Amino acid sequence: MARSPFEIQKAVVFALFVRELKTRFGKYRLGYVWALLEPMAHVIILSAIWSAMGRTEFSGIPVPFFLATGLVPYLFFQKTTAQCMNAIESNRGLFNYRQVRPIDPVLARIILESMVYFVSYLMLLFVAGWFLDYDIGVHNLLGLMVVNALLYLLTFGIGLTFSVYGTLYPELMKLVPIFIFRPMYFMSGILFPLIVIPTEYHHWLLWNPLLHIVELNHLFYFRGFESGDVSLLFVSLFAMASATFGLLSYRANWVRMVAT
Amino acid sequence: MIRLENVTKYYPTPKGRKYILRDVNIEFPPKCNIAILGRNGMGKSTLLRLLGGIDYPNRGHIRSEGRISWPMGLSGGVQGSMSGRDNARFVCRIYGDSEDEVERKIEYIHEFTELGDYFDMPVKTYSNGMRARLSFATSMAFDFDIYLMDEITAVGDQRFKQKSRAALQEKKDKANIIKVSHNMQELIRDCDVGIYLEKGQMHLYEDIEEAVATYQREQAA
Repeated sequence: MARSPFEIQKAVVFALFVRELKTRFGKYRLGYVWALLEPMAHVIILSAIWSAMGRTEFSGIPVPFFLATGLVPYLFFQKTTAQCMNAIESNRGLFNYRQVRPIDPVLARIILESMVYFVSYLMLLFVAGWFLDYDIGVHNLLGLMVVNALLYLLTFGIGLTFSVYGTLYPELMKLVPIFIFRPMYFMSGILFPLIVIPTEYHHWLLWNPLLHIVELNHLFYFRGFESGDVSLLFVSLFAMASATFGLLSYRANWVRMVAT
Repeated sequence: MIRLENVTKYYPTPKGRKYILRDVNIEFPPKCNIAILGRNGMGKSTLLRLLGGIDYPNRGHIRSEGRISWPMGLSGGVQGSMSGRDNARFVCRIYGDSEDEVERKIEYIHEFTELGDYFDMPVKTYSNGMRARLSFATSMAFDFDIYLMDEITAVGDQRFKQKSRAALQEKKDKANIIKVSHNMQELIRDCDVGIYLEKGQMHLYEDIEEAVATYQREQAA
């Protein structure tokens, strides 16, 4: 009784998902807690820096809350795309089974990280609302859902692209963290809002889709948040283009990724 | 049924292409146990990987019918960081077994391997023999039409060898093997026909003894 390709892929992605779940969380006792602690550590350190400089709010939003709502989506993107780069290499042994195709571990990792992202987002809101007594009501829930759906799509596109070229040219894996992730941490609107930068520089910074995504997250979350010329259309086009590019790159190279 | 149509496979090396197969056309005789012979580096393992559908020819097609196992060998097929149990479970899952069936097979595999507590240790802590036992036992939990075996019987103690032969014997009226080995007695005992792999060509010998004789003559030369 032959299974359809979709059924096979579903079984493979599920099996890989379980495997990733075990390695992601099984290694340390605090595995699940760590997923939440990491963004919180960023928030705490950065809030401390801002408060030392005498800053407690942006557009009326408390600094820790502002940081959390930007950092969590940003770290999701960075972490997932970085994980995609070595998804193939760290599952090398499992390509001994013909059912397993290179895209499967990439998909498994993206699904797992998306779930971690979603849960840690909710947990952070809970902490902010319950312990810190912030008003965690969302100003525009639909907008927030749309922009985060686009973030998933962008992450898929970039992650798949990284997995293809990171596998074929392993030296890229060393360059991407230095030349992409590090500058983006400072230029994606997570440490400070776009508005604090003089307007004449905006058109340069706004080529970065992550800046749009983070600013839109803030814009849809908080009433009265001030932003620059951010656009949902730009994010949509960028996300679709990257997904298309990722799929094309994969289609053209998948045999080379596993063949010896 | 396995048929190779104009299959070419090479490795790019700094000194040009190293051909493993060059425009090979061959149909494997059906319902036979096949031995693959050849000197080191002639591409026996690569051929098994091609047949197992986990490597791809540079040109041409490989057509096959029926369920073909993964190449059971000493390297590959397991993920070192995962335990033996998780590796076996992974395989069951990708073959689409229900969770009940997975557990039943895990039980069988655990018993067959005689790994005991090692079954829950990372595979990278295993010896070659233990790894072979895991790989072999896992494949025995499934019903394939053709089992691909790459030197897997070269390791393991006497007891396990006998046990695996018995398990294979049980499957033999339904299944066949394609086997790579350097142990000639074993090939003569287990196989009916031989394929001699040399300089990118495959020579089929209907009689295994003849294939072995050719191989030994070439070795001596």
